[in-house]
Amino acid sequence: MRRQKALKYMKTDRNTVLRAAELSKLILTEDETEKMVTELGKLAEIIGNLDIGDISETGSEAAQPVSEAREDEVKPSAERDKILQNAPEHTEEYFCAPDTFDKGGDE
Amino acid sequence: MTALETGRLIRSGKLSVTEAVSTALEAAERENGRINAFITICREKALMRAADVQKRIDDGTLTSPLAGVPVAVKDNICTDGIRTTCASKMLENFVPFYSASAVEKLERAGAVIIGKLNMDEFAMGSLSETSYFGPVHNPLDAERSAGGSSGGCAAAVAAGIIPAALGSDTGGSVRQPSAYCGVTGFKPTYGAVSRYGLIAYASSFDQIGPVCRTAADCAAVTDAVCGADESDSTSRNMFSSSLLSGLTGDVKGLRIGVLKESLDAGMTEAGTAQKVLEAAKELEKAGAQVKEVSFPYLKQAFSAYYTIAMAEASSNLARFDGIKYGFRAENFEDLNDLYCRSRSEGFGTEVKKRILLGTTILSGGYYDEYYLKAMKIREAVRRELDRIFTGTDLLLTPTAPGTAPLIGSGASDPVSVYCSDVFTIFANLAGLPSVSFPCGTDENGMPVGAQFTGRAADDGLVLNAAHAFQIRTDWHMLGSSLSAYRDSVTVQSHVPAGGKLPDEKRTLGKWGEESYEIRNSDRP
Repeated sequence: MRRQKALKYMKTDRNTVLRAAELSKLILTEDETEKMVTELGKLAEIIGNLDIGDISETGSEAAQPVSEAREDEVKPSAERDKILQNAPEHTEEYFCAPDTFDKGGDE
Repeated sequence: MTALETGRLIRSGKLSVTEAVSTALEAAERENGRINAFITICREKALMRAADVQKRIDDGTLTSPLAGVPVAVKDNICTDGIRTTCASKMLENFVPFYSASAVEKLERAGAVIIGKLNMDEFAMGSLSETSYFGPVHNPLDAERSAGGSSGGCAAAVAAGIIPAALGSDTGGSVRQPSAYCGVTGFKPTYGAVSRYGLIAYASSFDQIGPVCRTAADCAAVTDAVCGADESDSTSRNMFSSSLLSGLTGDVKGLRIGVLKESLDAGMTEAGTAQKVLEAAKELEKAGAQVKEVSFPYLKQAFSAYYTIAMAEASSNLARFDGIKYGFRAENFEDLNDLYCRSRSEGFGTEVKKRILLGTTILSGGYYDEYYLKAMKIREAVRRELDRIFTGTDLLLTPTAPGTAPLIGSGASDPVSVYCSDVFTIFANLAGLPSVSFPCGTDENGMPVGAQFTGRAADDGLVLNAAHAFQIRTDWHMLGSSLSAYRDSVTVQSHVPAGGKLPDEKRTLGKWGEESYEIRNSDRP
């Protein structure tokens, strides 16, 4: 049986961890970064056993749960004040968040 | 006392709903200092609801076997007006304005929710030690773990506080803690129970399931919560009749395949393997055909599961940004800084670890090598299991390679903690029904769990096999002297050495003798 090529070994060095943190919107302290480098290295070993023989012809879509479509019907959505009650900061109508764009205008 | 027995006493008028609920509340409040199973206990709401349920039982509009039965719900399942924290600082003050579909259905059946149960943060863990609210302790030995992630569910049922709980099972999170605490935990076929209102960890694996003392109770709870739900497009009506009604205890001709790799010395503790083999022999005596089968992909399934689960976790947890709900950091410079600081301060270490690895798996350079490959392995595992199930009806394995470890022991060897899921995850990968049931104890007196896994939608067959074992043995009553009702009534210890009753007589009742047999009045 034809074997799959060896798995590309996942780097779990400091740069990989910091890149993943940036993409994940996480800030790691220096201690956390060091700990994550070690811990992710162990986890990478756990997920590294992905050799099962020739699966080049095996699809991946069939592994997904099947969803069933339903009629598209208009229904009332949740009440606004209930949705807002868990927001850390809100007005009577909106969630509050810091400015997305600089208000300073063109320089 | 089981959920069905409690319901029967309530319907017969020998026990009021308020009495049952008050007793459970008092037990929860008394025991929580020792086992930390509850994050929230909702005394007032529960007592108000108990009165309402009693009225509806009295006027004949509520006749379900679960009517009036006190229950509790894992804290990642939304409950309208009751705080739902996911055991995380991120959701410490989150109060949903809707209930999960499974909770609505459970309440429609008359069950009374007395509180929300502790767990691993966002269900990420196998020992219920990553909770922001502290670890769950095993009621059978408080120095040991209750397992995870539904550790609070298993501990609360094992301690006799409640006879039934709703948990969630992504990679074994209902079954493994059930095994560690000596109770019965059931993961239905994927799609049998709606996930609407279950806070997502890995959506293609997540499944709500019951933790109870018996398989019969698990069937009753699953009957109550299963079925298609328009709010979850993967849910469907899977069963043509009630699971509880199908429990005959007859296993004559049932083909049980004992998974030989799961009993290997390098994989499983000898005592655990021995107890599972004894369970197989018990069912063989009852007429089942037991043989050995091989599933060579256990390790690959394990790797594929964690690869996909972490990838899905990193996507699912992207929603926690400190804007719409959940924790928001106090000090930040701009929008991006708000996102980063809220997430960094709101999530615990295990959650961050899984998000980071999941993000790496989904990033350029690793997506094809890891995620795509894991998805293909998932499909290959499913096909291999289909092949195995052409020659056997059920797979029998230990639920976990060993029994409940000491709290804190996983810190020095986190890989071993992940490995405790090695026999549970393949059911999640393939979406199959699987039940863990107690089948003995180890040298420390801690419970050993055995696990039946069946074909998709064969939930009735899986539960019936566990039920067949439980009407022939009494391991499921291990620790039943911890019942919440112990002060108000006499509880007979009925677990003789060896776990078997000498004359098939079962005296489970506290208000007179009760037969274990399911009565016609319990059948919906």
